[in-house]
Amino acid sequence: MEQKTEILQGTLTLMILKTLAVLGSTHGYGIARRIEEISGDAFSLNYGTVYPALLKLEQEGFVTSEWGVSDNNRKAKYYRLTAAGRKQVNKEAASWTQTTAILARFLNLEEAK
Amino acid sequence: MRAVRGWFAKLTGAFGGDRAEQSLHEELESHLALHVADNLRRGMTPEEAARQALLKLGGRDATKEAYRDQRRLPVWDSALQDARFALRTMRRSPGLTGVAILTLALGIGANTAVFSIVNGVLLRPLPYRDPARLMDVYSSSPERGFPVGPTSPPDFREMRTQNRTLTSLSAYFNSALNLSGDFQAERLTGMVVSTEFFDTLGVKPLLGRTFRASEGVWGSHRVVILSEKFWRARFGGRPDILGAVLRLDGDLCTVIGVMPASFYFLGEQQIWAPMAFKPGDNFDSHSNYFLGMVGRLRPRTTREEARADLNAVMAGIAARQPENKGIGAGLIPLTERVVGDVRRSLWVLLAAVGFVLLLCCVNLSSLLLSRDAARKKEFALRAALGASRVRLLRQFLTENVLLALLGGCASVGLAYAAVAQVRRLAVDLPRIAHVGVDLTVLAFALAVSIASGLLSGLIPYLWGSRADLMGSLREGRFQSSTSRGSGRVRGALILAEVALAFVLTIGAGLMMQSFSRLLSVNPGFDPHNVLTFDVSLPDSYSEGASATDLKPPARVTAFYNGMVERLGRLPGVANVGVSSALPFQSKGWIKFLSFDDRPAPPSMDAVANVQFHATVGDYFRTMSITLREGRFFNASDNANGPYVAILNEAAARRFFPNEDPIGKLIFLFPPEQLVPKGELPAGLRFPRMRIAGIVNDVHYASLQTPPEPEVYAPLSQSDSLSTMSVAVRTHVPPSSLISAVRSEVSAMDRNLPIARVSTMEELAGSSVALPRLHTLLLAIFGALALGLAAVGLYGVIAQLVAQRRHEVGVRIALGARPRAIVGSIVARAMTLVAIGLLIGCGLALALTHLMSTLLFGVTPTDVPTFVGSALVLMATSALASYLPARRAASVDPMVALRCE
Repeated sequence: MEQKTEILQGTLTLMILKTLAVLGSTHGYGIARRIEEISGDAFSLNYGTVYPALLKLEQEGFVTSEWGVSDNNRKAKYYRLTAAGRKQVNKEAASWTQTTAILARFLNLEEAK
Repeated sequence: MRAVRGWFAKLTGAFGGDRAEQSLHEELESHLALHVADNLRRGMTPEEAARQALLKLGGRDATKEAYRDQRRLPVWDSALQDARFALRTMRRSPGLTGVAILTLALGIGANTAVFSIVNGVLLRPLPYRDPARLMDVYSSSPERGFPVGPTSPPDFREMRTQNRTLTSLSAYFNSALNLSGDFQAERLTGMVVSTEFFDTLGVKPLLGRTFRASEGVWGSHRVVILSEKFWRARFGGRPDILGAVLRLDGDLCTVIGVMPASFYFLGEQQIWAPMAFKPGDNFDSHSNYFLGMVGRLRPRTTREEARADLNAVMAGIAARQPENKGIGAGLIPLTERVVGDVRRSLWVLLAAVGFVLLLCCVNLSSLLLSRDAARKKEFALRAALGASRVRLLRQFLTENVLLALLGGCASVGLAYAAVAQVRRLAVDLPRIAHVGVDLTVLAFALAVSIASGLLSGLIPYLWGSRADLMGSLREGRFQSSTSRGSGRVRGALILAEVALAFVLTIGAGLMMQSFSRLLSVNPGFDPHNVLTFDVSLPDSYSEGASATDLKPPARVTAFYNGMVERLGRLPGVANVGVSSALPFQSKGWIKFLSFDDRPAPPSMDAVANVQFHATVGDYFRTMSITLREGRFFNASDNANGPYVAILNEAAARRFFPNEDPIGKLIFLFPPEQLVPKGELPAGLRFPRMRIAGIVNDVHYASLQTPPEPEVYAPLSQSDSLSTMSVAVRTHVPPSSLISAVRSEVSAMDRNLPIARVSTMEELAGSSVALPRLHTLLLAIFGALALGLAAVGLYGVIAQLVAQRRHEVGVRIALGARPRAIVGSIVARAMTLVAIGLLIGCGLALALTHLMSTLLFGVTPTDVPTFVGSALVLMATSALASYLPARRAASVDPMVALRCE
């Protein structure tokens, strides 16, 4: 059976930020679907977890939200990045890239022995 | 920064919850709708589409809950939830809630009141710059019986200039000043201070300036500083007061400054004058010790270094001045001087009131325990629904703390009232004017409230009952009647209540015993129907008199004789007498005592000392002091007659143990040959006085202190103090004569005010004001303790009995006599009480010696008090357990059995 990875703590936030950076204004469902698609269904994502994470980002001032109307004429709450949020995407992405690079080197080292 | 912003958003997120909830609901519904629409497009059935969407979301409620947690601070949120729940619980049982709040209000209120005294008197720093470095400096001559005493001006000056350990040293003495001139004559409480006094204390004037060094020189000393209170009262806070000229004791003095109302120094003064002595003034000599001193320690200098330093200076003086032999110096922190005497008593009161609070907490615990037992089902339900133990405990504590906070609010009102009473009762307490309910006190009340809430909630938990309770909940034993755990806790609560109450009733008992002994002390005079006041004659009465006259100027004697005569003619007056000091005025006048027919002692410091009184008129009859032997003074004992003296019995016993003192010659000076050459006119012989009578002892200092040897002499044959005290015995209520007396005196001298007018009964009353306050407070605490213990015991026994109703019913049905049942319940309770008494007894033995300084004529382990308190407590406990027991036994067995 296919093994699904639990979302690593903290990565969800970055994925949401990146999604919003790419797609612009998006509703919660859209964000959840997009994350699942990009990950190639490797993540077992509870869509519900997106909402507290969005709220946290909003509280910290990285995203704002407003009610709007979806493509198929449904009322939905749309989120988009603030200026601080755009900076944060770059910062966190850089930080993650660095972390994963270090980790990769580490793991390679272990194998080389 | 972002984290703070997030946290703040969460904090505020607790409010406006309804709109946020609504928005969340809509958002989730729109999410589901979008998802369902997608699912339908993929060809699912509508049911399957909805099910999958919901599944993928992870459940509506779980999502909402996670979202809410993010929106608010979880602890804050559940605390609010707990508080709301607690309020609902309280509303459900208003009686119990009322009793709990009242209990706590009493306990916290009493603590807050006592703490406000401790705070005002002990804890608040003195209002000077860096008060910790300020020292009370004194002269010390243990060999002459004055381990701590005032100093003389020459000694002060040498210490001031020669010490190396103080940044500054200043001297002061209390002095009354008569204000006259354009103003209505008034007697002012004043202090004469050396010019650097205000700088030593580090205080700034409100207006103008403080004294300059040049103003300590005779001739340029006619300047004064007023207190803000006096300035406002007498001059309406006039801003042009600086430079105004006042007539004080006949001198014209210029006002140079006003001290702010926050300033005070050892009592309240209205006016300060610089210390300056006329050349050749007798007061400015090594034979007059009347100055207090205050000094500021240099940084990084210890008290011991300063003591050694000052003693070295004093030793230097003694090497040059033989009469200074044996006089050293010492110092204690100024705070000690101000509050030293009352420190112990206040801590005792605080400890006692702390015990009352503990008792309140124990009572509350047992009260809540019985309520919690009744709520077992509720807890079981909550536990079954997954509430964690910590969460349940937090719920309990929230309820208790909320109760305690409500009690605390009620207690603040109580504390306000109590503090007002204390301020009225304890005029003598140092810094009493600074006792009040301030922010510190309110913070204390808040802290005590929270602590007592937590304590009363935790006591049973710590003793295992609540843990036990939880255990039984999990097992589903809702109906267990007397689980052994809660029975044990109830027993322990009884023990604690009885032990605490016993300690407090013993404390109260000791204090009451001591106070009644104090009141039964015979003061040696009759304080009823006596009006007293002070008169100070200005220097103008003594003009032309010389210091070596050894008797007061003729004008002074004439004034007092005339006054006695005039006042004696007033209707309603029986006798009038004048003395240099009346009882309970804390004025003393110490003189040497030498005997004409005995060889002179080897040195000055071996000469005896005695308390001295100069009197005018019928002083003894006025005070109802009785003659033991010989005669009173009479009109022929005047300046021209032979010198006479009267001793009290203590003096007769001390100085004439084996002979009859009547007719013996004494004099109130050192033997002439001991006085250094050149200090006295050649050939001067001190006047000898013949002992004419012996009178009974009078408690002059206080009822507590034993009478000292006293010598009385007619004023016309001795010298006078600037302030004399007048006693008027009346046939009518003494205060009704105040205005008549006032106008008689001002008819003699328009510029002469009378001061400190009060009845002798008031003086006697204020002399026991502090013991009365201590007794009253401890008696209240004792009564509270007894009441709390009785109520608590009643509650616990009633609870136990209610739980055994079934058993009692069975026993009655089987033929047990109700009396036997009552007996067994009471006996069980009394066993616990007896153990509690034993514990309390041990505690009391360990604690009561702390109050030994407060006790008079009673030892801290007074057996009758211990036994009496035990009996009172046992009687109360017996009653408190009998009432519920009887009710239990009178129950109809059929009803009791059917109940189960």
